[in-house]
Amino acid sequence: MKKTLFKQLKKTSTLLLFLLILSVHHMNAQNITITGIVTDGQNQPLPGANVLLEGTTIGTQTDFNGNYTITADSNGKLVFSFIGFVTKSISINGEKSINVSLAEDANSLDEVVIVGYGIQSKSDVTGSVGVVDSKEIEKYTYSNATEALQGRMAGVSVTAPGGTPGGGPVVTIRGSGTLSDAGPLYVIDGMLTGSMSSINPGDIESISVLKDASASAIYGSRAANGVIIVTTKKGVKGQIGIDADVSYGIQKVINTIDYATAEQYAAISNRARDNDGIDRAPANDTAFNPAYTSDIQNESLRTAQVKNMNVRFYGGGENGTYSVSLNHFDQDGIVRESSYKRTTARFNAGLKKGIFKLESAVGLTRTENNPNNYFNKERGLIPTIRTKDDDGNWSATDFPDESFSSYYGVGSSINSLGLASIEDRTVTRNAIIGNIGASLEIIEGLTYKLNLGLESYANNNYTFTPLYVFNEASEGNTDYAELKETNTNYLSTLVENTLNYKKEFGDHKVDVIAGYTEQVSNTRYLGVVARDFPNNDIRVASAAADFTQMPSEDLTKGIQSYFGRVSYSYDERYLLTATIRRDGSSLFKEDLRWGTFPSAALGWNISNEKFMENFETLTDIKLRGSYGEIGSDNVAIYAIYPELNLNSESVLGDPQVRYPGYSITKGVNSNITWETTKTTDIGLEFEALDNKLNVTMDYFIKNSEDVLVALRPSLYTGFDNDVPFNTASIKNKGFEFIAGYNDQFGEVNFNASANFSIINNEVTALGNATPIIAGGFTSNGLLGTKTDIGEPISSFFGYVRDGIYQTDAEADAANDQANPQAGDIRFKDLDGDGDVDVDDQTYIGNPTPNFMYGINVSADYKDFDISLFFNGVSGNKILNGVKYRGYFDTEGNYLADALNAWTPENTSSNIPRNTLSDPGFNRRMSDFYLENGSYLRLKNAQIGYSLPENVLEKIKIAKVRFYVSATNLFTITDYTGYYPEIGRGGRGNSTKIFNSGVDEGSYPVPRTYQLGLQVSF
Amino acid sequence: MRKKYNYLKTIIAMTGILLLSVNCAEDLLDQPNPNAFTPDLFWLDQSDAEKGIIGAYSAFTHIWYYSRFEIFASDYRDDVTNPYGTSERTALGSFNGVSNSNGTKWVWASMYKGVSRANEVLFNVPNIDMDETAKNNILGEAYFIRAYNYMCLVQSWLNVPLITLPISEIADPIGDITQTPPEEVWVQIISDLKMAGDLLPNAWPDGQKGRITSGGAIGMLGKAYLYTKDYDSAKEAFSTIMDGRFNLTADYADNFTETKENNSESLFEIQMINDGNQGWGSDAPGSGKGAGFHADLAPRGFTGQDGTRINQWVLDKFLDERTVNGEIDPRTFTTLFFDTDETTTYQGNVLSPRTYTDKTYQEVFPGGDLVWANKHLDHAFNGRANSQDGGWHGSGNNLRILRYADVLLMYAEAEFMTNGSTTAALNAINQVRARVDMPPFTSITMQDIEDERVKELSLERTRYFDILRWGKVVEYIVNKPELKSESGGTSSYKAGREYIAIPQNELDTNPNFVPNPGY
Repeated sequence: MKKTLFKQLKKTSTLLLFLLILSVHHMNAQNITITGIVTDGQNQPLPGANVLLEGTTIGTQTDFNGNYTITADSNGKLVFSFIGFVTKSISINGEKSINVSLAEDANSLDEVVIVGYGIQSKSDVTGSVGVVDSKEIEKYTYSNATEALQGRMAGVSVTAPGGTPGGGPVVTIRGSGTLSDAGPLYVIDGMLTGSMSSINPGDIESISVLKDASASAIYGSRAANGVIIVTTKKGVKGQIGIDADVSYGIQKVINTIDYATAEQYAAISNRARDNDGIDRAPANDTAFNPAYTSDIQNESLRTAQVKNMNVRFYGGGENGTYSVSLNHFDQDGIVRESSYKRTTARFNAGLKKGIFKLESAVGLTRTENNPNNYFNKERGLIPTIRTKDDDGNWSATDFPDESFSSYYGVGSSINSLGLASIEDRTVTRNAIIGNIGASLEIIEGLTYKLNLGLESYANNNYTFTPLYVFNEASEGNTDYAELKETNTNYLSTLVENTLNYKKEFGDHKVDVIAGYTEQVSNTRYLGVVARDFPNNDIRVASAAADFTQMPSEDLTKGIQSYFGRVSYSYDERYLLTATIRRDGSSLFKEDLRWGTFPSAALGWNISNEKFMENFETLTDIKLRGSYGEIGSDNVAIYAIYPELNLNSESVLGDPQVRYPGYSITKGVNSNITWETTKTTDIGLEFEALDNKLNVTMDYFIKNSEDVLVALRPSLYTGFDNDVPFNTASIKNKGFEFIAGYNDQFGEVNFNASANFSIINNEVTALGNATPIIAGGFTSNGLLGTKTDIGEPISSFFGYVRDGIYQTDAEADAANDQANPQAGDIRFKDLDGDGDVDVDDQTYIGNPTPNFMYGINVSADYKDFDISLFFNGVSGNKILNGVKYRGYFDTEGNYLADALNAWTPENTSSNIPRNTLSDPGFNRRMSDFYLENGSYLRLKNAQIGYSLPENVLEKIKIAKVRFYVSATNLFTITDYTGYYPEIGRGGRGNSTKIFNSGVDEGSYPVPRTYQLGLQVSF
Repeated sequence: MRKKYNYLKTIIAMTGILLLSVNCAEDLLDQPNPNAFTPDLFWLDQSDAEKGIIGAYSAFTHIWYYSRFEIFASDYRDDVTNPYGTSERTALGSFNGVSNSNGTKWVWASMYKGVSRANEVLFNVPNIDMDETAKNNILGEAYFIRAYNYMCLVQSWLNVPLITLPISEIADPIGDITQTPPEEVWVQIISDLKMAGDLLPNAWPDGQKGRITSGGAIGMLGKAYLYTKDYDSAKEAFSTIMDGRFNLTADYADNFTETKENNSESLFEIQMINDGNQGWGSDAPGSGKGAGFHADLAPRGFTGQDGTRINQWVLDKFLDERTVNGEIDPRTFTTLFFDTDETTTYQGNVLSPRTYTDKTYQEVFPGGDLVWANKHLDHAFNGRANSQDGGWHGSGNNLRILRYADVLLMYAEAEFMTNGSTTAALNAINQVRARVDMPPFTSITMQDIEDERVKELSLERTRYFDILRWGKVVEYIVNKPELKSESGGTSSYKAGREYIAIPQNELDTNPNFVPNPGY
């Protein structure tokens, strides 16, 4: 610079030099004070707008009324800027009053959408992406951040596992394309992970769900079950603030199950035994004692509290932003002896200096979960037994001197509350998830970024069951105290290198990204099962006399990927996005390790065409279509390697001891590879009514191929396990609709949005695999679901009822394989071959809703705001396993309704006769258990009041808002169980997806009332 | 310039990181399993051979096998038991064991576990450089285990695949495998048992008690001959071991108590232990190896399961004759829990009907008259309050599979079938009777042998297979639906259903397989 100047100086005449000096002198001499007002297009003042003297650091901000005052050189230039508006620079030219009207920035007004490895303006997006932002999420308290997605966007199904505090919901995006429990990929601030449970919901800035292949193919082999991108709140330049939000709530059960009282139980049991011709149990008959009763269900339930505290400090200067937040969430379960606590701290920072940019996001989370694993356990306490004995100790017999089973007439009876009370259970997890991203703008538009991500947790799962004797029957006592404890350490590291080029050339806009990434994750755990402790108070393994098991494992998985994306738009009219990702995974053998996942999409912003210029009815019309292939790598780590079982021991010798033995029990298919999902999506977006209404519609076809299905090998191989093969196919088709409406009526701002989706799921091939029969709802072996070609995954399969046999002759004539008699259920002879046998089973319902919807309405008037959020599902059935227990199980309590069973006097009943031996096999899987699972509920409702501005100004606080909210205020449903949101049944070692819609009285979803206070400084 | 240089440095540094991460990339995708012992590192030395054969024995104590479920495929099917409830457990007994029920497939699966593990030993151990005697003994055990499992398989399922190689050595474990004619399976069984008899030792040291001996294998060989109606060979085999190496215990009840396991009468018994371990399954650390089937035999009120009662005719059969002292056959009290005021003095004890917690019949079933099981339950020894007291595996009472008394009765039968009521036949059967104070026969009929087997061996997993080999399933069971009245009778019977259905899984996974007749 100096040299150049010098050269010029040399060439320049003395006159020029003189003038230059003069002018410099002149500029320095003319500092003036300028005042003015900055407004938007509608002449509304813009408080907080930046006013800067160009080329200097001299600047100021407008006040609350948009006024500014600045002292500057009268020949300088003022630069006016404000987020969301086009920056304007105005030469001062000696003016002392400059009023500026800033135009809204069309690009910035246009929402930006966070997509994989980048941000796109909404008008450029060619894929199907659903977004929920912090405004919606902040309103309510969630025990698990995943719940914030529920009902918020079309095509995304979120089902909580009942009301278990902290329970992780099942997220299914556009229908299940897998026969496993694999869920979506989560990308939290750039770190790829499998869950968002550790995130404080209050920290979330936005959640994007990538639904089609155009959007998700950049995540290749992990995208097939959808991708959920979570970004957390960052600091904002030029603003310093503190936000606090404190709430307290109480939760109550919504519905209880009408179980039999002791008297009713005794009557039912006696009648069943009379029918079977066996003796009545003394406790129900001669020795019935009305003083010895219990109601284990209601004794187990309580009104419970939930507390949430959130504080966030944030701010930013010219070169840096920061945000620090703390959260504590504390929920007691409405089932006694269950609770969940979560404490998080999050540090997000950004630094920008010239061409460098550094961003980091780090979240620390501690969760303490105390689940009650016994509530509603099968073989629960019958009501003729008290929960505690005379001394107030937990018990499960009132006649300890009698033989339990002959006295009470049941083989065993579990005091679930007593067990949960005396047992110690805690799952503690300390987790960190975070990343550091450093980027460098090499030349204008070309940015290199290195993103280093890390996720780690230490998990301690501890259960101590003390020595106890509730009764002498099985499951009523232990011979020893037992400790089960497992420590797990997990570490996942991610290294991502990306090169991004963004440029506009006239009408051409190009955004290209290429990257290389690696991720390695390792899980190592060590556990112990130890028994025989000196007493019940010493609860560490080292004190045990007997170490029964020490399970431990070390699991490492590596994935390596190359990816690229080209987004091109011409004249904001024609859009093209092409993506490719090539993934290599350690899960598969060398020659099957690499997979390529491409996608391409086209978009047409019709409204930007010349011929649409005068068409005002609909605006921002965009038509888009995409096709792509994405993968899923959901196999167990090391599934391809054969191994020896080291636990095939035998007993030998005198005295007898166990001798170690080895065997091969695991069959292996080392040729397994990716599941591939081919997605076609056609979308239409438009706005109407002066942009007050926006609508998005999508139709999609999702064909999942090479889906891994577990084949039970021939049993003669000696193998125990199901061996996975890539032979199944699944088709999901659907339609999604989202509409949003914003308007102002006088002083009322009104905002409504609605979404619905229709999904059709069908298994189209299974290969050599046999239909999958699962969905157990009792330990007695009955199974409820079947997954077969031509039907949705996990469809209910069984017999169809046709009333009750009124006479023995009628029952005999039916030729049922079992031996029904009068009072037993008549099952239909569906194949019409004159008998009732296995061939008469059919598909009797689907546990997955084919229609889901959500409606969100919010409005504010002056200082009041209200919001209501409804969601619902329909078309699904629930297998109410409580009906099995309540009518047929010989153990546990009956439903009060079992008293209304068929008798020769009560022939109009549709409840079969009471019997223990059940020779007519009434309990077989049938539509007896199925109920309509549809519901519509007011999931959330909230009313808020904010202190008016004049008050706030006095107390120097930016915002004070009080709110009252309620969760699940009402639910419209026919379901007779606790609640129609049930998650998946837990029986069997098999994949839980096949237990969809199976309810064994899972943890009830509560109704919650909350009071809260939000304060911002 | 300086600034540019800085850029360059940064780019080089970042490229360096990039290259670094690329360099270690290939390792990242090679992740061998650090947790498991892979089969290619096994079968190297004697200790591997030991572990392999123990693994083959281990299948017997799988929960699907003798720890529990096998009883549903044997004693629950005979005319002695009348099990309660229509379920997968009783389905086989009412000829309703459809091909996809667990009762059908679990026992099959666990028996094939025994076969496949024995095949591994027989294939791999000959190549191990180890002590020759130890090698022969282990091979002998493997021959026995394979043969015994095939005996059970062919008796229950008839048309089973005969596999004599490890699965990994079969080129196409589906296409190359098909059901084998039963007579060929029997040929293999007999050949294997002969090998076992030759290779096995006469006895094992105390620390190894419970492993099969040469005598045990020869006894089983005799049984195989008897089942294939080769009576002469059966007699020859039985005679070989009727040389004093086995002896009847003085007290009949010694064969059903934990205190007298692996006694002089025992040829082969399943080794069980109550060491506090519970759990369903096997081949997993700390899984139970106790007698989980007790809950399926225990009288009502002493089990959380449906259980079974015993058909009245069995008691009547016992009560048909008296001991030399004019008392009830002492075996009745060991075998059954029934209503009587009578007692029998035997081996210095006064026997009367007793069940768990030493309760009398009238204490448990006041006014009742149903007959219940008592054999195996061993409550006097283990003091349990009921069959599941202390959990499913709360009894470590060994299950005797082949006793010398059975050998004597089988010898008597083989002799009777060839030569009639000879002295040799009478001596054998009378030895069994004398032990329980029953008067000697002076001549016998086939009915006498049948009856004696009921009294001596009921609930010992042999009655159904006796009826089957005698060709009397229809006569004894199907035509008497009242014997299965508690689980739906016998109306489901179709010709061929004497045998269990081939598991649906095998039909589904191997197109070579055909269902058994009657299914």
